[in-house]
Amino acid sequence: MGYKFYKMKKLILSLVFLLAVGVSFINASSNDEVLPNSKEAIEVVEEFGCASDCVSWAKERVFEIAYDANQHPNDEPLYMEIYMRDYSLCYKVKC
Amino acid sequence: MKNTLFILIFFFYLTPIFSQKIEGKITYLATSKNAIKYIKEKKTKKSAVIDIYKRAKDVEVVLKFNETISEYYTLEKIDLDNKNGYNFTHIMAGGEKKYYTYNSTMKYKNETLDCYLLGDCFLIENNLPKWNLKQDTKKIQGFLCYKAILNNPRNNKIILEAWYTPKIPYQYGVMNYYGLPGLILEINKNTFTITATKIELNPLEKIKIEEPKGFKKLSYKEFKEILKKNSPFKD
Repeated sequence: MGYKFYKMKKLILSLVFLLAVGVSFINASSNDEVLPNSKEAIEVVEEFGCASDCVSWAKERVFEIAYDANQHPNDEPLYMEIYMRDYSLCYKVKC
Repeated sequence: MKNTLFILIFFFYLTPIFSQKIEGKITYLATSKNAIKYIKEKKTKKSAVIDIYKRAKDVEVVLKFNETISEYYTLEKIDLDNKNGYNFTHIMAGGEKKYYTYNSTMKYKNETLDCYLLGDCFLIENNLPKWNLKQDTKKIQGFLCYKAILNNPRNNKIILEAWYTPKIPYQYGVMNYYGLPGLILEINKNTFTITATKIELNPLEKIKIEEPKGFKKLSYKEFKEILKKNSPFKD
């Protein structure tokens, strides 16, 4: 009985060991290929979202200034300068 | 003989008039103070730019000139570390740029020295504005001025009003606005205004202007094409 129990315990422990090794291998390979990329992708999307907000914000302001002066933002380089300064300011503060 | 003598006397009196060389320094004040009033009176929806109009401060601007060249620049420097934003009036008055107008015998030429927009310093040759001369007059700092306007070719609406004085017979002006039959003493662009506050003609100290040299040159067409390629605004 004692010998049988000993054999059984050994088998279970081996199985647990194999399972643990297998899982860690799977995790190790998935860590290398999938997780870092997905994390990076999330960061990029967040950064792009912030920059995109700044683009919209700066554009809206420039269109209003140009419209008030009976112009289109492409009419004068001045508007491009206002846009770039607004965008840089927004990016510095919010992103 | 009598006729010849008359012609000689005539030219004797006329020569000093034509060879009179005026040089000087004009100080202007640039302001956007009317912007808030304009927004309150004219706008029905909330303005996205009221904060920059509220933050705008008046700026002093200088135009130095002699018989061959003029140089225009603002006296304020931009504070790049200011997280509250820039001074809108400073940008409208030319910002960090400098403007040069050359008076050659045949025609005037105007250039902008811009070190911001394209990431490096460039001398951009500007086009002569298509002015519409008007009969309206007013006095600025004691000089009789005439009005000229610029219309937007897209919709023919007025985009700028300039006041020039033929008493200072150069086609110099403010920023890239030049080419009128007299020096420009004021411009109005919607709520933004630049007006001469001090006019010094032929001061004791000689006016010195250094021509910009060693910069890459761009025609206005080339410059506009570069901007258009990178423009976030669709026509």
